[in-house]
Amino acid sequence: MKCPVSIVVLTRNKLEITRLCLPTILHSSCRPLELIVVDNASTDGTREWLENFAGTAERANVRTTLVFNSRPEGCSTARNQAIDRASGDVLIFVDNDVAVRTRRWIEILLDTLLSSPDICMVGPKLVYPFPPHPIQCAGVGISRTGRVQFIGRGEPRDDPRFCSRRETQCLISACLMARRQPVVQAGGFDEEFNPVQFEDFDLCYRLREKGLKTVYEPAAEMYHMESVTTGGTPEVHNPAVVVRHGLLFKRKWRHMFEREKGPPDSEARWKRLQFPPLSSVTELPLV
Amino acid sequence: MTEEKLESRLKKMVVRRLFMKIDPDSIDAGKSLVDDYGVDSVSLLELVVGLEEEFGIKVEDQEFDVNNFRTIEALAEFVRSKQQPS
Repeated sequence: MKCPVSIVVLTRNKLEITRLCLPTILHSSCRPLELIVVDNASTDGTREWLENFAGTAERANVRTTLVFNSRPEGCSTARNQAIDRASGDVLIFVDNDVAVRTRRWIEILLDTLLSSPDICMVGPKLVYPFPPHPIQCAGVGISRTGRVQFIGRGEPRDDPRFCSRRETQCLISACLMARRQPVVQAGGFDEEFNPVQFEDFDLCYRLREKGLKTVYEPAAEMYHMESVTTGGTPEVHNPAVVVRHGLLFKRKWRHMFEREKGPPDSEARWKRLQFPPLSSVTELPLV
Repeated sequence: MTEEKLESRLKKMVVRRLFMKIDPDSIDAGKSLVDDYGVDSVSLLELVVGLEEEFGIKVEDQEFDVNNFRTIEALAEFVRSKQQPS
């Protein structure tokens, strides 16, 4: 049977986070559902845990495919591997540090995605896992010089400025829904951005360059631990990757963002926020 | 340009580009920009752009080394090395 919606999750070690987040996908109200997990050569028991989890997921009517890479492929390559295997016309990319908060998140995002043929991507309101769950990302703004703003980051979850559906310049791949066809036609994620960082913004711009829209949908909320998946590993030196790919992004898309009404540079700064350690997160309430 | 003038220009660039609310002259050229002045990886990106735009230095994609951005002193040394005719 062909599933209309395929969820793609990447893992690379950090089992304690995957174990906290991935099972929450099963609390989604949408069925049937397909889940494709691509593991990038984890060595911390993630592989064994995933094999066990796949049985649980199947029993919850979530058709599950596991792909085990023998070496760490980049995020773009791994997501493209999953796109090749996905049966759904709609794809959802979810990082292993994202957990379900709104049970009907898939139906809500799908309604928005299908509300207009020119909408190609939709992203939910991402909130922190720490009460009172402030906003982690409510869409992404790109300034006229190419600086990145995570809209609403650190602001209260119910702040009315971030409670309306709207078009946004970019979405983050921590959690976004996309139509499969335009993503495939665009060539998927650009592997020049491997191992990670800016590959999602690049895809948004490639799709938007074709006249398609990326939309923020606040009615669906998801927890995001932030920077667990992309925050660097012993083999990925994060600052160097951010700089290298940031320069690549700016050079590639300057012709677009310098003509857009993005946020001022002064508002596109990465604020330092103080939160408890992730190990303190034991419960992630569903709504 | 003297070393002192170069460091002064770099301090002003750092404060202006990162919207820091401090006097550029108060930056200790030997202290860590990351640990002592809160410069993160996204900010490092803006400093690279600053070097390109204000100092005419091209930092190739594979050339970035975080050690060159550790302190104002390290940054000045990097600028000098890039400005020397090859």
